[in-house]
Amino acid sequence: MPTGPSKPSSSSPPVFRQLRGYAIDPSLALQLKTAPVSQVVLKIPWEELKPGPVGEYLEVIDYDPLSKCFYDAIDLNEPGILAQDGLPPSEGTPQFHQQMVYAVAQLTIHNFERALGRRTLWSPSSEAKVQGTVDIDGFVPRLRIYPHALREANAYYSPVKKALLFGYFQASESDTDGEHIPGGMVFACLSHDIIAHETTHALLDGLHRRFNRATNNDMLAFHEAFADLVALFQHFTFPEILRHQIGLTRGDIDSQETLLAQLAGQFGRANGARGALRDAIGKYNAAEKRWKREEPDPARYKMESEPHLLGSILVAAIFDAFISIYRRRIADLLRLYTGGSGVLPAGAIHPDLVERLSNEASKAANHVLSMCVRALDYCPPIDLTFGEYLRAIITADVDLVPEDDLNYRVAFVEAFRRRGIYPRDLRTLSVENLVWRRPDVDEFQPSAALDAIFTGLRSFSQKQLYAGSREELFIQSKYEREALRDHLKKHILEQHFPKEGMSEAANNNRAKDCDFLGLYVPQDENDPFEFEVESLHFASRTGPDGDLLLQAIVQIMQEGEVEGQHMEGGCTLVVDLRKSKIAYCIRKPITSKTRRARQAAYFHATAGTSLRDTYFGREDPGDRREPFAYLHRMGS
Amino acid sequence: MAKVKKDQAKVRIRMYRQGLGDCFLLTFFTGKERKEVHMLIDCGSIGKGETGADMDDVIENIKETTDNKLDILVVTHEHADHVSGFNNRLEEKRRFEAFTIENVWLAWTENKDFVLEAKIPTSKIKDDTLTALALTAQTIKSKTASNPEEQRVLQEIAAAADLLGLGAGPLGDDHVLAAADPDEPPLTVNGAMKYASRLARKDPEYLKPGDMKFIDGWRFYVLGPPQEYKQLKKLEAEDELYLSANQLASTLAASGPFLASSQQLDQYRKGLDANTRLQFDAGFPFDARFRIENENEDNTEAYKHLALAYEREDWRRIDYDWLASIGDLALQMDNLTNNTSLVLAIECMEDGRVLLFPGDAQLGNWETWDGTPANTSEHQYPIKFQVPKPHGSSGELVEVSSADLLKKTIFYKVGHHSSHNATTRAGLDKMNTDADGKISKEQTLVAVIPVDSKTAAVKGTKGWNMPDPELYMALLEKTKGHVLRSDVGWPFIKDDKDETQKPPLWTEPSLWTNVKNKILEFQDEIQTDTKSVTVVDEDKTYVSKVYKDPLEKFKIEYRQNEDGSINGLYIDYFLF
Repeated sequence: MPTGPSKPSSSSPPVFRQLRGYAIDPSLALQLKTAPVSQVVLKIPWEELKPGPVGEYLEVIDYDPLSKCFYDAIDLNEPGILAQDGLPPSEGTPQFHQQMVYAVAQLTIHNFERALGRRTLWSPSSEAKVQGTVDIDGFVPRLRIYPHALREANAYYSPVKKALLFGYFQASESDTDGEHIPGGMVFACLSHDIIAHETTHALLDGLHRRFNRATNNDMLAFHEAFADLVALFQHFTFPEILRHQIGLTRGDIDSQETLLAQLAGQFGRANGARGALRDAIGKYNAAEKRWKREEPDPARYKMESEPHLLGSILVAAIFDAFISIYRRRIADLLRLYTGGSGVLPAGAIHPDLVERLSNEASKAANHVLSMCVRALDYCPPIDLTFGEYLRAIITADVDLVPEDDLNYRVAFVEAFRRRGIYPRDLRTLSVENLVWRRPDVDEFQPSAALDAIFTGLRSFSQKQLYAGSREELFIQSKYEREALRDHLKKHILEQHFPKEGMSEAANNNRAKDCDFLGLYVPQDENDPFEFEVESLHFASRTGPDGDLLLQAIVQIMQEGEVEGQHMEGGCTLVVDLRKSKIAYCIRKPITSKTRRARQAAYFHATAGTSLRDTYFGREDPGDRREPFAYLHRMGS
Repeated sequence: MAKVKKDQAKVRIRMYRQGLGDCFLLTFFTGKERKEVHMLIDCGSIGKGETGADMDDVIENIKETTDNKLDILVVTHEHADHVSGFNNRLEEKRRFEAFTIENVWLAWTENKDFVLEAKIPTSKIKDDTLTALALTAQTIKSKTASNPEEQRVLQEIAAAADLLGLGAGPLGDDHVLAAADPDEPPLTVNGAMKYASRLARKDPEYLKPGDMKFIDGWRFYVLGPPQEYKQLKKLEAEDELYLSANQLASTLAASGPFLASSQQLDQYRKGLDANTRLQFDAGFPFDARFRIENENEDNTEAYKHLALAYEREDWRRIDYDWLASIGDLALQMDNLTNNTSLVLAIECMEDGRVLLFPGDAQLGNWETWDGTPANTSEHQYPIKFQVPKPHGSSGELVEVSSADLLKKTIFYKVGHHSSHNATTRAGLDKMNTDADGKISKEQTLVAVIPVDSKTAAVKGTKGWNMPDPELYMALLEKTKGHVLRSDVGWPFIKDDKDETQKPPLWTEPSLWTNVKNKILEFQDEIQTDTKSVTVVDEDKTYVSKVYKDPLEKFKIEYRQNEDGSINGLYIDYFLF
């Protein structure tokens, strides 16, 4: 630890902190084929760190309740550690585990933010309080990471504790692959995929805190699928692995088993299963004893109800879109390399081609991931379905990239269609049709006054742009949200209960902004009219042609009892701050009869009468406090 | 109409009303002399809400009825609700010692020397980990929570402890008092089972599927428990992975006592024998030198520092999160024991009619004898028996399968207090059917449920849902309303406001409405055939109810209070 007065530094702080880690997980080092790429040096954007590591976004606390002890916290600033890119990978040193979880989680945050185009906040907690500072009540500066919290093959994000809990366990005795000693220890916190997956759960919860409410079949599956996607596409950011695997498969990354398209290999195998925990494009076929590409089956989406399996359909669809895009991008390279035939000769391919193919794969992966992340701003605040997610992807992309010369959007639509994923009430599946309806062609239109209220967010966006810290972002947004809610409430009530003296005709002509926003207003003026502006973001994005997109993303939430059923609803508004107009309003009103019926049917079907329910009582599937713990235990 | 006389009955089945648990006395009237043969199946309760009969009175009644002599005692499986009556702790409670008991029949799984599939000793399946688990859960559930989430986990642990307590730990019910001598260990489920198994003059008989036993005119077919581990552990229809529960079981077995204690690692390890210590150490992820723990002089400063960071925000502590799958574990253990239930099909040799007593067998047990078609294991299901051909020349044998026995079943003791998954659809569908698979017109199937819904409703955190609404509906449908519950008796709904038959946990109105309509559909017919006689007994006036089956195959007798609620120690079923 440095002591004494520090000398003025003659250099600017470094751009990156380099930290060594396992590439995918420790099992790669044990196979000759993958040993050369088993370790990577992760480049993490530089930040000040305290022992833990504790940084701006993350705090690692290594308490092991099952061993009733702590493990000493690593200080990544220690010269000995700093000078050699962190501790060398080791399964037996808890301090390396701390380094690895920090590095991968921070990398995931970094990649996510880059795709999103802004800084992110963790979802707020009513428990988070700092004495004497009401301003930041609810603000959770850091996600907590417990690398050794459980003694089981599990890891999960706890939305209540704003923490990631990782488990460790003894590998099954039946393992015959020799990847680890049967009965040896396997750590979830050493698997890149698991760390990235859990971190993504937390990131998604920060943007959409109601996405862990299981109000339909797709909702929990979406959380899983999205977390898998981020982990999966992160594989393409490691040049060593990418080049190695592209070389090995001769660029054919979808026709054979590859590390790129697999998640959590060691974990899957240590549990006694043959293949990786999840595989985006195929799986090990026990009958034929070989890996097989999975054929898309349009019927599966409707039949599947287990969240991981259902989620894997979405992952497969998006991975498919990625493959089509990648193939399109490399078609000319292959033709050049093969003298026009496009058919590769037998044997290894030239390292230069490997390099070029890797670049294209990495670029395509980056584009696809960005499309998926951007779409989050275009999702309804609750009760999302895969079909609606497709609409969000397409709409977000149309806004930012008006000309789709590489047919990315068509690739998405086709991949979803092949898997039977359609938005509910759409007659045809074309890109134009999938774009969310703009207000001018929508069922309801906003009044000019409403447009004006939201355009008033311009000054807020300015402040957000220049906010110095995430804490400042939080405080600004908090006050702005409250002000916006009060403003909206006043406006809607005035509109809804007009003062006397207005003619009936004028009354009937008034635009009903509550309908536009999907909000329910009580019949009686004296009944409380409640709703919340649950989140408010400012998004600024630059398209490939240099177009600047300045938007405010507003989520409005309302809860209430409707005909005996508790309903949550509201809308997401995408406001175009340059055109001073509401671009889209994606509604999920609590009064929707069809949605209520669907939700009731879903609850009924899932609540079931299992033996668990017999002894432990029914739990509303929309109200599990540790939804991911439960999910991960049941699923994998 | 021929007059049905009580003394012409072939067998009387007495369902006692001692609460949530099983206790059935079967009296067979055998041979020309109508010699009485008494068979007691289980004697246990884990509390009474509605039923209200005292265990002491129940055992007293068994004594009077059998004149202190039981020909056969059957204990289906080792759960408190089936064995708590076999109390050996208090002198005055050792009531079964006053009996002469000829035979004790137990499931093969109770034989501790038996090894299943050459790998798993049955003792391992049963009480090995269970006792450790129950005790750990008991200790941990009393700890204080530092945040609401933790409170939830602790509640789940308490619920799990309740469930685990069915199969292990002390029996602490109102009718089973703690030991008089504080030094003497309390009565445990395990102890009660052992005690019951030694009550006969000779060694207990351990029965396995395929075995047959006889008394004059009656044949007892043993259908379960299965001799295959895969079936024994099977709980739900989907083959779910209970991986985390299994891992928790081994963690608790190895480190449970350490975690529940306040001891430090070194101190605790010293108290272990070498073998246990080795196993204990293997569960730890790192070398001891990495440990930073409380009250360790070498790293006090480091500990303080780390603990401060951890404890600063109470709501983020993770002290008990690792225990969150204890509920699944408890379910699994509970199920395993339920699946070791001895299943008996009792056949009247004269006409082939069958009384079915499946204990608390669950899915895995049922599947091996209910004729479920898709069973791809090496074992041959359903179970086959070779019996003498009726009216055939001596020595000629015919094959009878367990599925055939189900078709002839006219009396069904509903398994596991009518919970979900303790009666299979395939099994229920087969009962009392003719050659075409349609419900037989020869006789009406009667289903009896030993249950106390009110007691079940206060178990666990949210109560146990017994009877299960879907199954209850299916039973009413199948038996045309002939479902007898030990807590509320015969299905009868006085008027629209009458909710005496509604289990307290059925909060969803539609569940109750459906069942109510089903009861109303059949009850008029049943009421027409029920005769009332007013009885004055010790200054109290009761109504004695007798239901006579129009086909004259059986009758049912019970006592009712003037307000219509059921009364008395038992409900009798007579088969003619």
